[in-house]
Amino acid sequence: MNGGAWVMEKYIIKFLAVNSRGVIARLSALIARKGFNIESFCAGHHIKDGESSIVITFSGSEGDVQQAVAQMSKLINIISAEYYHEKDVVQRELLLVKLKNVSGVKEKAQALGGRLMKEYSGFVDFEFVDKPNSIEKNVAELKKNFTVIDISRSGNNAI
Amino acid sequence: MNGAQQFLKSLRKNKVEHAFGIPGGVLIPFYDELYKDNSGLKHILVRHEQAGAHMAEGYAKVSGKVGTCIGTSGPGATNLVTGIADAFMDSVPIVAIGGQVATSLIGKDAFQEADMMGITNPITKHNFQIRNPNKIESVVDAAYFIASTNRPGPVYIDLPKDTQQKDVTGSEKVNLSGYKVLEGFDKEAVKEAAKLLLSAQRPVILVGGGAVHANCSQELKQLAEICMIMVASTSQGKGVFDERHPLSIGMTGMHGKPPAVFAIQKSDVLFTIGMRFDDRVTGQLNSFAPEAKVIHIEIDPSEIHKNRTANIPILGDAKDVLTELVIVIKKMQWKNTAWLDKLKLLKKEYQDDNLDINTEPIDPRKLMFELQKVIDDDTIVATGVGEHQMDVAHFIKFAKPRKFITSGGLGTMGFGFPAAIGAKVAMPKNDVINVDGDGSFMMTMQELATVKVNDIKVTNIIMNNGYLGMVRSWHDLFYEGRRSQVHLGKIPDFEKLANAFSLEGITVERPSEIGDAFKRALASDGTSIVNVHVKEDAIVLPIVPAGASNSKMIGDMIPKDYFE
Repeated sequence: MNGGAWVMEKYIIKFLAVNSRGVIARLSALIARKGFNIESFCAGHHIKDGESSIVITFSGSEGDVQQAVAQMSKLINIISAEYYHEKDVVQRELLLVKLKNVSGVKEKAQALGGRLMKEYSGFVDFEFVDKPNSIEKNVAELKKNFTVIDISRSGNNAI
Repeated sequence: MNGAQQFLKSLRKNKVEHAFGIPGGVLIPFYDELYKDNSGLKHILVRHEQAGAHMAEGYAKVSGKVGTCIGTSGPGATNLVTGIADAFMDSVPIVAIGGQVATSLIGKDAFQEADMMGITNPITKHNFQIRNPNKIESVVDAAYFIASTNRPGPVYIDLPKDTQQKDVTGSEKVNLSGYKVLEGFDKEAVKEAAKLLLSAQRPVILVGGGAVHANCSQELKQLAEICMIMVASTSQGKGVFDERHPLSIGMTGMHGKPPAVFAIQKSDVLFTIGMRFDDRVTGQLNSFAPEAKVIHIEIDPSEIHKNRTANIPILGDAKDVLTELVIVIKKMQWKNTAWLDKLKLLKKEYQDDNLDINTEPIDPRKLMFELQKVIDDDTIVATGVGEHQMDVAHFIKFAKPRKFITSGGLGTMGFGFPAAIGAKVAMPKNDVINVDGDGSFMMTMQELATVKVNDIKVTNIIMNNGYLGMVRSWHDLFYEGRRSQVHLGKIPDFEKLANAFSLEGITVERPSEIGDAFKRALASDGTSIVNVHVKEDAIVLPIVPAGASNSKMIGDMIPKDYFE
C-alpha cells in the first residue's frame, strides 16, 4: 500500500464458497503467492448444501486486509467474503491435548476449563474450547507443569 | 451424443469460429468429431501450442472476441502455459483447452499426464476439469462467459479422454453463484471526480488496457476535448485516444515520451482509466506523481488501492462511467490554459519526430520513420519483446485502439509473429505487420509453416542486430559493457529461411532500401520477411532505469533540468 499508517491488526475474514473440488487449494495458493499473512484457516459445510464456510485469521493493516479480500473475492468459487476486526466477532478455537497422566494433571486441566475426553494407559485426552489467546495460555500453562505428548488445534473459528 | 460431439457443439453455441491447436492421443475423440463436423468451425493446425495460445491472444486483442486454443495432455498442455500466463497478465479473453488422460488414470503419473489444474491455477481467471460429460455444455458456456466479462482473462478447460468418449445423458449445471457481472457504478463518486478534475491546476488523463476492453474511445475523446486535458497512455492503452490528436501527449513509462512522463510526475490530479500502476509505468512507486490526487476508474476491485491509493476510486465499466462524467462535466465551466500551454510547448520542444536518419548501418529510428509511412489507421502492428518493441511503442502513433498488439505484463519474446497470425485470422481485411527482433522472432518462427499452409498473410519486419538487444543495452548502460550471453550472431539468414518455407524474403542493408522493401512485402501475396540489418549497438532511449523514480529519466534528448 502506498501511504497511510501501517498498523498490524488482526482481522477475521469470513468466506462463503462453492463446495467444489479444489476450492481450498485455490484459496491457499492465492494466499501463498500474494504473501498474505495468515494465522489460521478453518473450514466446514455451511447452511446450504454445496456451500462451505471458511474463516481466516489475517494479520496486517486495514489496507492489507481490504486488498486480500478483494483478491480472494475474485476467485470464481468464492460466493462472498467479508472482513471484521477481531474485536467485533465471537472467536473460538478447539484444542485437543494428550497429557501424561500424573497426579494433579486432571485437576489442573479442569481448572483451566478443559473437559476430560478419554483416560487410558497412562494418558489423558482433554478438550478446550476458548478464545485463541486463552488457548495459547492454556497450552503454555500445561507445558510448564506437565508432559504434553501431542496437541491438535482447529484453527480460529469465528462468527 | 458423446462428450466430444457435445464439446464441439458447445464451442459453436458460444460462437467459436476459429481455434488454434494441435491434436494428440487423448484428444483424438474430439478431433475425430471435428473431422466429421460441418458446422463451420475452422481449426488452424499450428506448429507449437505456445504459438497457438498467442494466436488466440492476437485474435482476441484485435477483435474483442474470445480466442480459442487447443493442446493435448502433458506437453501439449504445458506448451500452452506461456500463452495463458501472457493472457493473464494483459487481461486477454482466451479459452485454452487441454486434453487430459482418462479420469481413471488421473493422479497415476500416466503417459502424457500433467497436473494442468495445478499448473494453470495461478495464471488463469478460472479453470475447469470436466469429469462428467453431462457438465460439458455448462462448463464451456461458463468458460466463455468468465473469459469475456468483467476484467477479461484466460480460462483453462481440462478435458479427460473418457469424458469425450462417454455418452451425454443429461444436462448438469456448474455452480457459478460466486461470479457476478459488475453492473452500475457510484454516481456520487462520479460527481466528486468531476469536481476534483475541474478544480485541478495540472490534470492529466492516463489510460491503460482496460480502456481498450471498455471500448470507451468516443467518451474519452469527449472528456478530453471538453476539459482540454492532455491524455497519456500505457503501452496497452495505445490508440484508445488518437495519438495524432493535439491533446495526446503519448505513452508514458520506462520508455515513454518525456512530456508524458513529465506531465504525470507534475500533475496534481491524475485521472486514470483501466490501468494498474504497473512498475514499468510508475517507476519507483513512492515517487510516482507525488503531488497527484488519483481518480481511478477500474473494473477489477482488487486493482483499486493495490499499488497506489486512489483518492476517488470508481468501480465500474469505463464506458458507462465516462458517459456519466461527460454529462456532469458539461454542466460545469472550466478551461485551464496555463498548464495546457506548458505541455503543448514541451511536446513541441521535445523533438523526437525527426527520425529520417540516414546513417549506416541502419538506425532503428529510421525503420520507425519508414514504418509510420506505410501504416494507415487500420493497420495492425504486433511486436515481439525487446528493443524493437519499445521503438514501436515509443515512436509509432496509433489512431485507433486494438491496433498495437504487444505483450506488456509478461514480456513474452516470440509473442509477435503468432499474435499477428491470430490478428490476421480475426481481421482478414486489415494489413497485419509483425515488427520483431531476431532473437524474439526465433522463439516462434516455426509458424512460418502454419501461415504458408493456411495462406495467412503477415508482413514480418525483423530488426536484426544479432543480439538480444534489450539485455545487451542494459549491459552497456548499467553493467559497464559486460555483454554476457547476448550475442546471437546473424544466424539464420532470414531471407533464405523465408524461402525454405516458400515465402518471400527481402534483405535490407541500407536506409535507402527500407521504403521499397516495405512496399514490396506489403504488396506480396502472402507472408514475407523483411530482414533489416540494423546498428548493433543502438540503445533505446529515453529510459527510466529499473527501480528509479520517473523523474530520473535519462536520454540524449532530455535537457538536464527537464524534471526540475
